[in-house]
Amino acid sequence: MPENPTRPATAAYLTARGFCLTSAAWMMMATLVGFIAALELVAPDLTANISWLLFSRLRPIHVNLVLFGFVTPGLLAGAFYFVPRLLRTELYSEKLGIVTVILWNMALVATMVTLAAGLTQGREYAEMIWPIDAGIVTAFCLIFFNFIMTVKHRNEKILYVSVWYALAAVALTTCTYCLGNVVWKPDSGSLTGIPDAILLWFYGHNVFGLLLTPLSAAAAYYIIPQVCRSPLYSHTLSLLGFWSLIVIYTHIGTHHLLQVPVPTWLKVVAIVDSIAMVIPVMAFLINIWYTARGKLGLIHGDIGGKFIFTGTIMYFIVSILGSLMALPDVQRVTHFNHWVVGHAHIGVLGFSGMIALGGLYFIIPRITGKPLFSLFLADLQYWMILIGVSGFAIVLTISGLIQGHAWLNGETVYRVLSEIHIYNIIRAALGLLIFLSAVSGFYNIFRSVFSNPGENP
Amino acid sequence: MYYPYFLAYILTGVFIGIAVFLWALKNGQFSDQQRARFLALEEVRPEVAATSHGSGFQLYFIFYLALAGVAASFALVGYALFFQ
Amino acid sequence: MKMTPAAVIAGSLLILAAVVMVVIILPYADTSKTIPSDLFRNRTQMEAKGRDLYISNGCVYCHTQSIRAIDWDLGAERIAEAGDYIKDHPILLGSQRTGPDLSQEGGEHPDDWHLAHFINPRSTRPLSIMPPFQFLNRDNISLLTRYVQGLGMKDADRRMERQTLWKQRAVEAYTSGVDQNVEWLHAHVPEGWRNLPTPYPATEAGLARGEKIYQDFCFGCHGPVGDGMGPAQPHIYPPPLNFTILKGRKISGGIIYYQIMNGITGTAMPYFKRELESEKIWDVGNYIAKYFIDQIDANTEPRGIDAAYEP
Repeated sequence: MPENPTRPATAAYLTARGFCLTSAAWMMMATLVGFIAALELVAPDLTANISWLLFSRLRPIHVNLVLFGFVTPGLLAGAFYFVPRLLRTELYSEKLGIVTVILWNMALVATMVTLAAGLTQGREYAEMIWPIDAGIVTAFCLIFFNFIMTVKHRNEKILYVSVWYALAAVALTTCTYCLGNVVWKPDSGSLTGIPDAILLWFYGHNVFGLLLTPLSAAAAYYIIPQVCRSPLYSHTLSLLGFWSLIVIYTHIGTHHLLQVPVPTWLKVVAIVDSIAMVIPVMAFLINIWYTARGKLGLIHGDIGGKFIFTGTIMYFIVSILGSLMALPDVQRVTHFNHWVVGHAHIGVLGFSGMIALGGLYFIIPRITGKPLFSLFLADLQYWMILIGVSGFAIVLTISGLIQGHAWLNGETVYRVLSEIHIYNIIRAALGLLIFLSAVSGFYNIFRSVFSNPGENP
Repeated sequence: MYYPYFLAYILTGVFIGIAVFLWALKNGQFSDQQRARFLALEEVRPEVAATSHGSGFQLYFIFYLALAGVAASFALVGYALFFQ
Repeated sequence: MKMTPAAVIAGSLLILAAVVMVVIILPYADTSKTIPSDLFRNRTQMEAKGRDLYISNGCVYCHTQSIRAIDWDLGAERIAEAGDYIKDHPILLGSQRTGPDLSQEGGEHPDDWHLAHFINPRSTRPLSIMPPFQFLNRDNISLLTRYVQGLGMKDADRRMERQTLWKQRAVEAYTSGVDQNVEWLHAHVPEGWRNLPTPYPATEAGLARGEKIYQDFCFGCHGPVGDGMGPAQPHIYPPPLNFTILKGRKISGGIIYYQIMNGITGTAMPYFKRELESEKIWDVGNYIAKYFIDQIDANTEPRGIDAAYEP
């Protein structure tokens, strides 16, 4: 197969560069907002009477910026690099890609401003008002068009597993985003009554299941074999993992509604499939871990590989937790409290966030042709995030168990507040750690892309 | 009584699955797959030096900033744990 | 399997379509036949406006509206039914209980309690971590209050009727002077409780516990020295009781206990029977009696059989 024609380093992979910087910059904003919100749980009068800094306005900003500002662009940066590489061609249109990056950032700014101003549809993960929905859907369509045209002009006949995941993630999320945000009802963006809850959690769960997870898996499938210098362990397992992910993950949204009056048969479907999630999860993990078997030294020596491999371990933890939490007996304790917040942080920061960052650190030297500005800073960020996310998991699980058991045994929510106060303080401290890691990461990535003193090899 | 519907749904799924699988097997869908495993590797690895190139001052500054952050985090925890 | 672009995209979209059919369309058909529950009623225009404020200020991130069979806290008397939600768009079930569930909040407190609470939640609930909503002007706070007072629908309306009735009587009693007010307050405590002194001694440990309970629950309204001048006082009418006037006015441990346990409907004084167990109420009662009223009947006759725990 013909290799890429050599291009001037500055022009290469412009879209990937754009998404790298998007991800790094919005990670700072998203984690800063999360940190301030965590402080407000400790000191609720901290931002008294500043409406746009209210905890309840910061929370959706934090969640949406993490999902669509930090993690998704980080993973897309990787995809915009490896999709053309794996197809042995160039991206169909870098111009279109840059337009997408600009549109994406405009949507993020609009998201932040509207949510801060209280313009929200009030549905978790689907808060954005209609014009922003339109912008995001357009961006997804542009990305899909760019990818599919790249596929069309490919020089390698076989599509590697990473390409399947990237294509499916973008195509499926375009559909579920429209569906979940009820784009055909621009004024409220919602259905009415119980069907609204069912649709919302179908969509909310698929943000992880059909966007973050496939894009993360795509990055891991591409980068781990390269770092380990060994072929993928099994093609059959990647087939099983891919199809079972799409079949099973889409069924489980209703496990958020087990204690709500929704049809029982739907709850049964959600619980059974939540347990069945072990199939796609383990198919992916066994494939990656067997590829890396005996090669941990190589992974340890590569900062991108290190982030990604850690992400796969977090994926194991978060998936086992997820299956357990779907069991009604477990959920009696874990529902509505900090346990769930801990679970979400392991998933989005520990798994897909770690893999997004790993992707960035892996591709940046390859798109700039220069070494990373600072390996030391990247390693520092790795440890800060690892400590931060492990700390979140421990602290939030403890306080979630305190809340859950206290409520179940007759304590009121108000009485339990003082019992979890200390954990909220530690949570804020860990939030500061994550925010500072984002600052150092942004500096490192910015210098690596723009004013890198390293020499061309 | 939703069990009959469930059962019908599951059985339909199983039969469709088996039919598609048999068709795929016969059709040669599973032949010649080994090369797919190597696709991620067929790239020229760019020679990337594994050394840090940041200027001393900036690096130290960021390092101390990060260190200050870590220290502040621990101080906050310490304060919360021992002085309240 | 030959993963051509068409197979990947058409295959995954087909699966998605099939799953949407099963987990969205079928349940939609199933649940859209839901009939109104026994306590359902339509929201008023004011309540609908208040709901918009509830949404735009993100109240849903900390307050659920989803009572489960396993709940004990606010609203646990009525487990949620699908028919409660038939006019909710979006539905506001919530996913975190940082604060209490609000499904049945309507009529739990009178409007003035809500005003003080929205201006600064710590005025009425000292340990609350809810942000202050003073930045919403009075009009918006009263809209939000209308929405909250309607939560629970017909049940909330019944409770609100009660609040309005007793508010009127409480104001009448308050305006007719201190003696009449205290007499009115005591008159609504059942006879047996009125004559009951605190059966337990006011030990040093008990008073210390009482002080903590007072600071966690009472001091926002009744103030740090029990004179009814806590931070919530400017917003509450009739104002919080000044304990120091009770001396010599036939106060008893039983009256204090009963009022804490049961609250005084119509006034901002809520009931605490759900949050405080028996000993905690006796302890805080002793604390109030000893330090603020300066007249304590702890451990006086008739006190029945000696309690086993006494030193």
